Amino acid sequence: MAKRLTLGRMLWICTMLAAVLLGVVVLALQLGAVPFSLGELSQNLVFLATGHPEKLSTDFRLIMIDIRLPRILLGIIVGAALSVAGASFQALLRNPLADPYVLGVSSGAALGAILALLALPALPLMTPLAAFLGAIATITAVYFLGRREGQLDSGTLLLAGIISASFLSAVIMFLMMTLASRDVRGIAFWLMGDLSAALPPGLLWILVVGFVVAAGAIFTTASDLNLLLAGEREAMHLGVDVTRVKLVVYVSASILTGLAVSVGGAIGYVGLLVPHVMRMLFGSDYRVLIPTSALGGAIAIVLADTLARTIVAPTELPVGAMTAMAGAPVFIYLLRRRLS
Amino acid sequence: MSSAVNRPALRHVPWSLLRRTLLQFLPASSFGPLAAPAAATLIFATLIAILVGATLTGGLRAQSKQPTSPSVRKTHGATGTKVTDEMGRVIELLQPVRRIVSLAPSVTETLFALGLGDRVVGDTTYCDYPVEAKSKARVGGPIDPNIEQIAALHPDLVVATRSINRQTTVNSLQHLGIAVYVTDPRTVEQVLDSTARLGHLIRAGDDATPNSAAAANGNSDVTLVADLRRRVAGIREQLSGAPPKSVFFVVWQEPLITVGRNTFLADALRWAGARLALEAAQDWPNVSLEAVVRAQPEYLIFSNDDREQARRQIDQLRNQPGWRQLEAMRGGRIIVLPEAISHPSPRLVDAIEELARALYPDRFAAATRHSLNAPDVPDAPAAFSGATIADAVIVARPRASLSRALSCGPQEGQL
Repeated sequence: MAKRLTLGRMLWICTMLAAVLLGVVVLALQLGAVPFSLGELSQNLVFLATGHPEKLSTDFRLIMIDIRLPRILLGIIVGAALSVAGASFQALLRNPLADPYVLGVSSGAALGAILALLALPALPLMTPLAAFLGAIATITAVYFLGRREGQLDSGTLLLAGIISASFLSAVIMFLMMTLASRDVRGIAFWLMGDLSAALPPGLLWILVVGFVVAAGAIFTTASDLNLLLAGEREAMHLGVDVTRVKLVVYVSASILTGLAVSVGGAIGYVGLLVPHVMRMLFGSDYRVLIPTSALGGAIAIVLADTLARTIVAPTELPVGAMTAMAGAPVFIYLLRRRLS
Repeated sequence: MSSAVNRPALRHVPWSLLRRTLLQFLPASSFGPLAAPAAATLIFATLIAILVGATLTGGLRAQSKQPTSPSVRKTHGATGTKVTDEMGRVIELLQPVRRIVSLAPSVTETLFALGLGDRVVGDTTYCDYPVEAKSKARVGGPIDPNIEQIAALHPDLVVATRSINRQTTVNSLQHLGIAVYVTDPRTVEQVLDSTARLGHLIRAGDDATPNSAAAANGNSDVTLVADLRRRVAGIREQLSGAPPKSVFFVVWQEPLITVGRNTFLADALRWAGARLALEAAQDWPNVSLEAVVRAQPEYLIFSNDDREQARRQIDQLRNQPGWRQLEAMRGGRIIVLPEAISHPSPRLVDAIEELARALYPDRFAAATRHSLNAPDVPDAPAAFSGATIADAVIVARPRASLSRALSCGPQEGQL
């Protein structure tokens, strides 16, 4: 992609992707156990817009507003967060195979969720909270394990993360096999990634704010990340405060992953594939990669979750199964097309 | 990012600057053919933004004043009876309970046994007993039900069971203002208590209307549970003084999973005069075949409604290392029970009776049958030893469809 990046080009790309996302959302709003036609959808939307919510049909209020739309919004935030985190870790570790879970965040979150299920199974909001705390605890531990001479070292960090992830997975397996509690079974679903849980609206707000702050922080380091990819020493010579940039990216990407995992479980492949797809389509400049990854991730998850909800209805598939099944062929196609 | 999700961030964007920049970079011609679809997209985006706003502020529930369905009534704070379920959760039940969604085969069976089958409006894809259960609206599997589908059925009550449904499902329904009663029976006694309790709380609202039929139904619940209690007490009486026989219950073969001591199933085995050869604290423990060989249980127990399949399975196991070292296998002391044994529902009592008869044929041979409800229980089984495997297998008569294969679905309590 030799084309020079201008603000205009960037806005054009983002507008296009946002339009695609909007189309996917409209599609997702229509499909489900109770399908709504485009006409019904617009009619009810007009009632809402004109301030007559009492005219909404019961099904629309119950299914669209209380269940389907929150789930789609959740998918958008989770997808955007995972993809931005994936792109960030790929730069931070200078490794194309890095994904949001490479440093053990998902395993830490799963362990937190299991402990919450054991201690207080009947408290609905304990699971996301404990999962988030588990993710943060893991990422803090990996941070201290991954330092070398006081600096975050990509190689050491990667090894520390992978080892922590394996260790925590082993602990999870051990707990799942030995614990007497029957509530732990749900964790298997959680590990595959699952957006089916209805959450209170307040939690969505927290996620939105958390996402905007963390993704915004990463976006401010985008030009530095471009230089960092050329090599740490080179970046340092060009005036990049490498230590600070790495810390900001590390903390923000971890928070993004923690947020996504605490509500959606370990949804695979999105964080790995979407940034690569966006690189192939729009170039590897992080200033455009970060917003496009966010939009692309949102599109991918909303699409995958819509499929997961509908293809074997009324049974629901975990969304993680769909992201891998649909994501891998798209990725291979783009890769081959680019090589030929 | 779609419209409103990013609104907090976009507030801080200098809009005039962006607009000017956008106009500067986009050639004027590019607006021409795109104008109409762009306008439509914009309008739809605005409408969705309003929808998103309404959801995020959660203002809709409070605004609406016209309850149109039971589940909506509930979200508007109409008062109902407070009920504590078997997990200790307090739920508000709006009477009368006319529409019930069952999230487990055992719950469906229990509701039908209580004569409440006509109030079940939805059940799971694994609910196949009684036959009428198959014609109800399906809400998906017990572990992965479709929340939208459940909500669309407007249930007054959803009944789940802790051993098979996920906490997440219960939480989600709770957020939506749908009453969920979770059963958690861990003993045969509790299965019966739970049955009586469900019948009582669902019919509680019927008494308000002077309806002789409803009252009669309430009495029939009492009769049903009392009769079940009499039958289990009868088995205990028959077996009094007999030392329990050690058994190994094969829940799953690969990997080898058996029954933990704190489950209703272990309790059911105890009522039938059996004791677990291997005791484990986990509910459905994975165990090693070595441990089974070492324990040398007197009987092996399988559960399968498909007689042929069970026979094939046992014929295969007979020659496998480990299994062929089992005295019970060599002596043909193998019992195949109906799958009802793994459902915490009233049919469990039938299965207990059949197991007790198979384990202690001499005690039941002379005795008159205690159960009026189970006239089709086979007569005392033939001798075990010296017969071919096929003859040695006591296949208690299946109650559900013969053709159903084990692979159709997981047994209750497993997974």
